[in-house]
Amino acid sequence: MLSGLSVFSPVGLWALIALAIPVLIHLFNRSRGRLVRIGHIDLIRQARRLRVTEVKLAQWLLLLLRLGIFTLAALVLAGLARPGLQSSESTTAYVSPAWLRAVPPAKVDELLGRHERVLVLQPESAPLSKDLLNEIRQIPPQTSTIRNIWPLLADRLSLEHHGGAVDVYAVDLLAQFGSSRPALPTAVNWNLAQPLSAADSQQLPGSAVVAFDMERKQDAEFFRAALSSLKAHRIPDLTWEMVDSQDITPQQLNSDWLIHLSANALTAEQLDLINTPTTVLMDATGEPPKGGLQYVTLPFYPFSNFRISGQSQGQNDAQDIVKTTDGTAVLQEQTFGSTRILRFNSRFNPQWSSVTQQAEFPELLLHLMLSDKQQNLAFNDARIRLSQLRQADADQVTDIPLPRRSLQSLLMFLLVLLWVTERWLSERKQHEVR
Amino acid sequence: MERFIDPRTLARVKDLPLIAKTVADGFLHGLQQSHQRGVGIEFSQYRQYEPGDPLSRIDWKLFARSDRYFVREAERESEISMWFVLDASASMNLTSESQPDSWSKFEYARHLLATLSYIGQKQGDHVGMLALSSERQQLFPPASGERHWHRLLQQLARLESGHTFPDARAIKATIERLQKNSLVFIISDFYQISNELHEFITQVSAGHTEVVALQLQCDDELQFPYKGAIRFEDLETGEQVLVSAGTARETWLKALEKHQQQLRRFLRRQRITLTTININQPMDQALYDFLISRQKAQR
Repeated sequence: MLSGLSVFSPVGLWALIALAIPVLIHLFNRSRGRLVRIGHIDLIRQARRLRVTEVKLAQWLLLLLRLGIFTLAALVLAGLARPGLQSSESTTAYVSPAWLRAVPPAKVDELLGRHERVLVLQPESAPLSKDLLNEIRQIPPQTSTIRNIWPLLADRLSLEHHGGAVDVYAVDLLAQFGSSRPALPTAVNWNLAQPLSAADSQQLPGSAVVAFDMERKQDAEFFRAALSSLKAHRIPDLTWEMVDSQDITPQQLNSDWLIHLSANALTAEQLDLINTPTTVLMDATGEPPKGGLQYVTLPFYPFSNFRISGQSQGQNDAQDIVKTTDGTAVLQEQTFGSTRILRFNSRFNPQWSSVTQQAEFPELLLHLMLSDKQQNLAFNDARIRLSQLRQADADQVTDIPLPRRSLQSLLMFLLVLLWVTERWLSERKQHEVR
Repeated sequence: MERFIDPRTLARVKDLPLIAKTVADGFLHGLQQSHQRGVGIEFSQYRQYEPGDPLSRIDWKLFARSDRYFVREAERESEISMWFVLDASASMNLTSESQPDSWSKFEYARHLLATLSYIGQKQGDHVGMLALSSERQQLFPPASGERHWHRLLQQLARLESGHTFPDARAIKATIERLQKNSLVFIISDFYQISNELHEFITQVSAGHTEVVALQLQCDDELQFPYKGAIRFEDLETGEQVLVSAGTARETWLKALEKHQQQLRRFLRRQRITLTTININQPMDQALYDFLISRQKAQR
């Protein structure tokens, strides 16, 4: 059993050198009782004689206690741990409750036939029988109950060392995986079910075009980064193209999103060419205004300063979405048929505003570009792809410590216990000598 | 030379008489205070004047006749000798551990002896001393006079304690000297290995003597303040006993009480009173009490 113990930081074991201290104390302090000369030994002769071993016993006990204290202290420093749970070589399946509800009963039977152990991904899960699995299926699903299974899975895998293969059954909703996914210590086979109809997912935008003037290539790069972030976390099917605003084709004008970063606004002819539902985002044309920065509160942007273009006053037929405190429109929305046009009366350029440089920019972009229905899809029903799930390959696993459980609290308890006992015994001895 | 005289103690007790009780018919006639009254009643002899003799004792008539100084020596009212028997065995080296600067029993005994002998000397009695250990017996024969007393003090300063108390048979001759008309003070801790001290006392008190027993004890013996594992070592035999002192205290106190009872019983049989002195208490008080109690017992 002891062989399984390991330490987090072996350097701490150097503290074991301190074991020499109590040993030295013992060696220097060794005595067989204090010597007292008296006139007449007969008077003491009737008293019960102490055997030498009795005197030494207390000293040895003190030595052992002190050795124990120093050993425990060294082990606390070294971070002694015992191995995590060790499962047999059997294969294990982890099932998310959402998967159980999404798949037909036959799938559950098949699952039970294939794996020796089936555990539901919820805190303190124990291996489940078919009956229990079916019981869980009967619990009516609530939209908010789709749980992020990743931390549960990471906890479980770091606690238990799996001898056999590990299969995870989940639905492909992004909500099950969360945005932060630490590396898993064990390689996992993912089995993702798709519970919702394919039609729903098609409502999410699939293509985006960023059209930009060549001198604004830097600004376009911010959009490329934001789009790739959205692809990873919100819209797995998103694709995009980066084009020179001079070379934009009619087909590109008809993509789901059109981000237009140019000194020249889209022409009326170009707008006429758009015949599919398209959301166009464009920023101000012209030179930056002479005036100072203006303070505006945007969603996700509690503190932002913008330079507002003086040309924005002309768009009176547009709906103002965001205004500055003195009533100047910052963001306006216009609708031409199925085309939404968003005008940003500043620029996505560091000289005008810091919008693109902030971490929340992808989220803001999504917020602006999606309709309410689309937003629901993007946030609640966003899908994940198997390729996006990091597989725990051999390279990644090397850095992750093997599953083990720290014994710090137990060691600390023993340390305090030994220390109190040592103090008691030591004080008692001191008291007696006086 | 007079380091054994503590001025404070002396100031307190110097005017108290050392009184010998009548222990035998016609043997001791009350107080031996002849010197303080001047010369003796019955003329004994003339002797040559020696420096130090009081001028009042010079026989001026004889000086007129012979042109030489003679001193009248009187027959003592009570011809007794004061013997101070000092136990010089190793157990007398005991010092109270709780009061490290205090005297050992032996040191205390020397002071006690010096003071008592001073009183005796001042009364005009013959004072002698006997220091006993198995290794050597130092006998300082009794005589009177201040110079004699000073010599006694010198002798006292040279004394050393060690070994055990001697066997009574080995010092038979010495004991016989004590048995003649004497007041014998025995200053000891009254610890003995076999029965040697009792035998000694029995033999001494068998003669024409009054024996006074002065037992020296110390705080450590009376209170037994030790705790923890202690190795007790006998000062005389070197024997060691390892005990847990906390639990041994009761046994010790009982054993000491029993020892004292036996000692008192033994001494009572010999018609000897026992005075116990704690060496960690001031000596002037102890001596004062001792002398007063003797005075009371006399009346």
